[in-house]
Amino acid sequence: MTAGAPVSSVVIVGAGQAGYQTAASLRERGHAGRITLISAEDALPYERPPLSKAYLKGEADETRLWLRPVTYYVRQSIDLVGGTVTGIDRDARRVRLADGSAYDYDHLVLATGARPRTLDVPGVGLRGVHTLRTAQEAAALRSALAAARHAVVVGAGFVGLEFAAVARESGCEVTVVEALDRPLARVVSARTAEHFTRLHRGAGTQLLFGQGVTALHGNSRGT
Amino acid sequence: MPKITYVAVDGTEQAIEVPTGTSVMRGAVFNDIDGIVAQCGGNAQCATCHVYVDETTLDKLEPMESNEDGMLDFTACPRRPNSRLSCQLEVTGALDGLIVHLPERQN
Repeated sequence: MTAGAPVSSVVIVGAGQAGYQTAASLRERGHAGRITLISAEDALPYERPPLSKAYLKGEADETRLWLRPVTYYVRQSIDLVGGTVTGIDRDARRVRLADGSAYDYDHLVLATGARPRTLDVPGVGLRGVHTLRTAQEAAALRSALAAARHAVVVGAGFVGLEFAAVARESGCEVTVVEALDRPLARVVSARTAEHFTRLHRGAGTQLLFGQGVTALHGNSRGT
Repeated sequence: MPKITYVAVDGTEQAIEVPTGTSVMRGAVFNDIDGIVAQCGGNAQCATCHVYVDETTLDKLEPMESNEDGMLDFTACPRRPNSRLSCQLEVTGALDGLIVHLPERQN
């Protein structure tokens, strides 16, 4: 940084892996200005991959998901802010949060990530219909699994299959519905997909390929 | 709890009691020891938790698996015979007294 140059302030929206790593790398490379990391979740930055595995099974608590302990952010002067960004004023270089607070920036990083696509079919609002993205959603799924006897998974990607494996292990009858002709089509070869199809079927999970979901129906138990 | 000593590049030693079942990587990261990045979160996929195991304590460790061996070819500082990925070192009673040296950089 040039001597005498004003120290710039960075606001990062989204405190997942990318948001956290941006903040950490900025400090590692010597950025001295203010860093504000804004998270819509009331949690320290954490890893998502275990949510469909160890965390779902109850083998890891929330602290095991954390990327760093809280002391790290204090030591590195990374300001963690909980809240949802509702507006960006590019002229004033300022983000506004739902609670009315605002943060000025010289550089703004949008690291908001993805969200699960919900289905545009009747019944998506029924009780017992879950999505899996956050630790909170994983915790809700974990409690639901404890009492569930049947589980239907829409989508045979990594997350869907990992959930299916955990659900099957916990004694559920599991059906996976996949729109394409094989699992993991976006990420692995047909041969590898075939291996995982056999593995899941061998565990007693039903896999349906080339099938879409047209509606979700409730049952007598109110789900 | 097994005691593990982390030695920084400048020679500073920090002896930490690390719970069993976790990893040498997490023992550092969760005790405010700098010098381990662990970008992939402990999956032997990034080589940013590289450590040099002190020769006097090498015999405390189990041999490495092939994925760790392969990943060690991608460390930022040169690989040496005593190089390990600290995320793959599961803390057990056998690791009590382990000494690891942190490399100059991880990426």
